[in-house]
Order: sequence, then structure tokens, then C-alpha cells
Amino acid sequence: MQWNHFLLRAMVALGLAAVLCWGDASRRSTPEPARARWTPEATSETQRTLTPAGDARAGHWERVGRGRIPTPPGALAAHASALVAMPPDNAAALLAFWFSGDRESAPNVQIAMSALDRATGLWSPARLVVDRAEMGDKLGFGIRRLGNPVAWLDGQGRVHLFVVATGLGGWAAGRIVHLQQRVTAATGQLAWDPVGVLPLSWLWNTSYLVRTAPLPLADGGSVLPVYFELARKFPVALRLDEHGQLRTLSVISGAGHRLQPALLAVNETDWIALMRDSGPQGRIQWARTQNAGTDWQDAGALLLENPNSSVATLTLGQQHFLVYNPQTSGRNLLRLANSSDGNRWDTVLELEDGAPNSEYSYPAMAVVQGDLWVSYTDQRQAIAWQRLAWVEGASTKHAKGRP
Amino acid sequence: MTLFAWLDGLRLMTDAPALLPLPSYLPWVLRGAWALVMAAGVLFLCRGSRVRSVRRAALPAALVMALWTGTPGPWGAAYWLGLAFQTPSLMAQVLALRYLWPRLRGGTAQTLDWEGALQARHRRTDRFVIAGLLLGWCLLLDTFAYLPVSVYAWGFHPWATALFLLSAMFPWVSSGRLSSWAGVPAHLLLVVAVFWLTRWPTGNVWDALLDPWLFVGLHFYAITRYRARAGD
Repeated sequence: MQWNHFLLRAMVALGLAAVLCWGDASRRSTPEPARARWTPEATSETQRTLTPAGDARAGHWERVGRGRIPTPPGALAAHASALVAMPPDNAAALLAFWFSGDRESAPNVQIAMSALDRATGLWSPARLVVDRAEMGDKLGFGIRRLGNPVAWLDGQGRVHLFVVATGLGGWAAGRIVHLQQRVTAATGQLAWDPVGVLPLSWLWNTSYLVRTAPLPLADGGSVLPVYFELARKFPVALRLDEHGQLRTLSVISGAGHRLQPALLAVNETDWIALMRDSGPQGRIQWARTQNAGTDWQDAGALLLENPNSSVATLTLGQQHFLVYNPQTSGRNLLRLANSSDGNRWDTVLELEDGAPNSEYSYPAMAVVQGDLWVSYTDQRQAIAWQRLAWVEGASTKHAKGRP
Repeated sequence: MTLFAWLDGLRLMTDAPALLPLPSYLPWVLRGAWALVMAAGVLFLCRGSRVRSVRRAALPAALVMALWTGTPGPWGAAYWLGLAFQTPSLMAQVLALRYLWPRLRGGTAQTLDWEGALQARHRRTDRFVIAGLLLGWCLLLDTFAYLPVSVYAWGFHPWATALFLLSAMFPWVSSGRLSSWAGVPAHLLLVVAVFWLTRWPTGNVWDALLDPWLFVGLHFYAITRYRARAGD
């Protein structure tokens, strides 16, 4: 064997590389092309909302309930709620998660949870479900502070939590810790196992945060919108499989002042990201993909104002919903709007119209049996909720339709 | 293939599904990795001291550091190092092991390849250092989304691992000498092998090859080499 022949050595090297490539690829299943879970056909949940947005003759959304979710005993602050609708056979209709403690970034901040009882329609007493010291022990490294939680129900009906956990520094040193519901735990007593930190960046995996709800995919997986915020702010879309495992990641926009993307599916492959604007424009920014997240194009700013504050989106039938603060500064107004194309938005309802120094912010949305549930931060002291129902006929109380 | 099609192919490499390590092992990997790196660091510093007693205490000090770092929970240094810097790269661990191993067996500094490479201006090492610096700067720019493609996402792709296998083999392929495996190529091969088997530390090959502290260290090495050459 003439090992001193260059071509032979090159072939050996290439052969080994090919074997390594093949062995590596064979250990992972190739994902199907991403398709959003999107049902234009009528279902029991969507049939009431299939009329295009703005058709005031067909009906309107009306507030049928509101209140505050119970806070954990002794908690002075609450912020950044997330909602997840549970399957119809579950005793809980909705789960709400938020961070709670003395104040934002306080050492005693933990993730709190409350469940909406399907039978009684009452929220359960709040329970602290994620503790940073306990989570640090399980992960093997310390966590300085806890922040925004995002919840998602996977293809097997298991709840996943994605929580911001900071390292050395403030929010800009955040990482996203993935926890999943312990399989043996009953829903009433949710317990969590940390899966790990999502690997998103080479720089000590620093400065990736999560805030907004995932976009469900037809294969049982989802697209989790996250964002980077150290010096530059940009949004990223993560594809998760039906078990919550990271599959791919793609940058939504590199503009440098867009964060907290909220996703909408116009159809299976045409998606929109509406984003908080930290730039001087003070308007909701948006980006679009027409190939299910392979390529994203910046689409500039919408006409909707944004005071550098988080927004929430949700699609129901052919209607898209958006909750946002319709102002360039302050967070005292909170509005629900709807759209049929994700570009032009009509006011549905003013959810809050408070005094100039008050704050109603960081909304989340979910649908339960056709009703729209909105939760949001109320004065940084509690999480408020509102329930909206579709009512046949024109509204007599609220503005509806295009201005 | 046009340039655009080639670039499009690079962009689509980000579509490779990630293959991540088993989470149950990661706390142990974190503690073990930091224990190794910190022990090597303490040994290096103590042996470089001008105080004789410090030099004599180098090995026990490194052992104490390894034990302290490897202690589970908030009493262990790895708990706090992980908070700030997550897990060191496999390459940093291999270099630490390469530095520690001969000394634990009673070797002397004069006979070691690593320090020899540093002092003897090994050209092969220089080439790998330059490649490491370029890679680090690409990853740093990518971290802040200054590049049109997601370089970090490529690290999940099988091709990236294969590329590093080829890089490790290149000196041997080009020269045909078995001695060309010594030093960085052997370390690279070990890193690729361990990463391929375990996916440590994150499932992304960049994190296995180069961590930000190692990247900083490469700059010091490059500056030292440049000054040494300028002084020739």
C-alpha cells in the first residue's frame, strides 16, 4: 500500500469525512417542510369568526368578563404573562404563567402559574412553579435572575416552558432555559424537568430571550419566536419538533432595533412577524416569509404606533388578532385590533384606557371554545385578564370596522 | 454553479436539524470541563511564578482547584463559571489535558510539545491559530447578526463536523508524514471524535472547537508569536 501517494491519502480523508457525515445524518430524522397549523375550514371553534375582519354586519367581539388572576402570597410585582389553552378533556381550560416577586429582576422572582378551571370558570390560587436556585441545581450552573415565561403544548399534549434566565449581567445576559412537564405529573400539580439551555449563540449563549407565543405547526411542532438584545436587537425564529427539540434557527430581521416578534400564519407557508420597535420610529415593525420561515423579508413599519412595548398576536379562522399599546410613549392604552391580511388593522376594542402613568402591557392571547382570552400586566402588580365573545349582529357599544 | 446559487446553498445549510447532547450528562460535563481547565490554568500560573514555594505548590494547588471547581452546587466554582461562561469548548479541555497530563506523570516543561510549539514557532500551529482567529471573528460578527448568513447555525450541520475532520487530516494528506499529526491536528481529531460521539457541549460544532476565552487566548498567542518574530 503506497501511503505516500497524495491521491490515496486524499481519498482516505474524503472517505472518512463521508462516513462521518453519513453517520451523523443517520442519527437525526429529517424534518418535514414546516407548515403552520392553519384551518380555513369551519370548525366548532372557528365557525363564528370565519367572516372577514371588519364585516360589522356579521357580528362583533364583546367583552364578557374581566378580572385579575390571583397572585402568589406576598408577591409585590407581576409581569410578562403567557397563556396556553389546554385540550378539551383537561380539567383546566387555560394555564397562565408569569414572573412574580418583589419587582422585576429581584432575586426572589419566580415563575408563577394559575389554571382556569373549565367547570367553574375560576382561576386557581397562584403557585410558584419555577425557582431559580432549584433550576440552577438541576442545570449545574447558577442563574442570576428569572424573567419572561412562554408556554407551549406539544404534539403529545405535554406543556413546555421556555423561561429567560440571566447569567452575568441584566436582561441582555439572558439565556432561554427549556423546561418540560414531567410526564407523571397530573395537570393540577405541574412539575418541571429542565431540558437545558437552547444553544443559540457562540458568545457563551448570551442575550437570547423569549417573550411571545409559538406558532403551532401541522406536524405537532412549533416555531418559537425569540430575540437577541445585546447592543443590537434582532428577532430569530426557532423551529421545534413535536417533542420540543430544537431543529433549526433563522434570523427574521437583522435591522438591529426589532425585538419580541409575534408570529401570525396567513396560510400554511405565508407567515408574518409583528415586532416591538426599539428604534426612533415608534411603530410596530413587521417582516414576512412566504416559504415557511426559510427566508424572511423586512417589510418596514406598520401604521400602528408602538411605545417600545411587546405585542401579542393570534389567528382564529380567517381573522388575525393583535393586542398592542397604540401610542408612541407610555403604556396606559391597550387595544385589540383585527385584520384579514396582517397588514391593515381595525380597532376591535379598547381593552384599557388608563391614566397617563398607568401601565397595561405585555399582552398574551388564547382561544377557549371560540372565546378570546387576553391577559396582560396590570400596573406591574398583577396579571389582568379579559374574556371576549363573538356576538351576532352589529355592536352598539364599541367601535368596530375600519376607521 | 453561480456564486449566488453557491451562497444560497450555504444559507440552506442552516436547515439541518440540530442533534443535541443528552441533557442528563451536561451538569457533569460542565463540572468536569471547568475542573480540567481551571486546574491547568492554576498549574500554568504557579509554574510561571518567580517564588520558589509557589512553584513547588503548583501541583497540589491545581488539584485543590480541580476539586473545588468540580464540587456540585453553589459551593463549587463551576456553578458560577457556568453562570457566566457556560461550558468551555472541547478544544480548551483537550489543550488543558495536554498541558496537565505530562506534569501529572512527572514530566518536565522542557520536554513538552505544547510549550515547545509555543517557543519553536511551529508553522503548522500558526496556520491553525490564524484559521481559529478568522473563525472566531466570523462567529463574533454572526452573534450580532452582521453577516448575511447564520454561521452559528452551520455548526449543527454534519458537513461542518466533516470539514473539521478534513482540516485535521490536511497536514497528513499534504505531507504524507506521520509526524504531521503531532500537535493541533491530533487535538482537532480528538475534538471531532468526542463531539461526533457525544455532541458535547451544546450540539454545535463551533462550541466544541472554539469558545470565546480560547479565542481571546489565540490573540495572545498570535501577538506573542508576532513579537517574537519581529524580534528575530
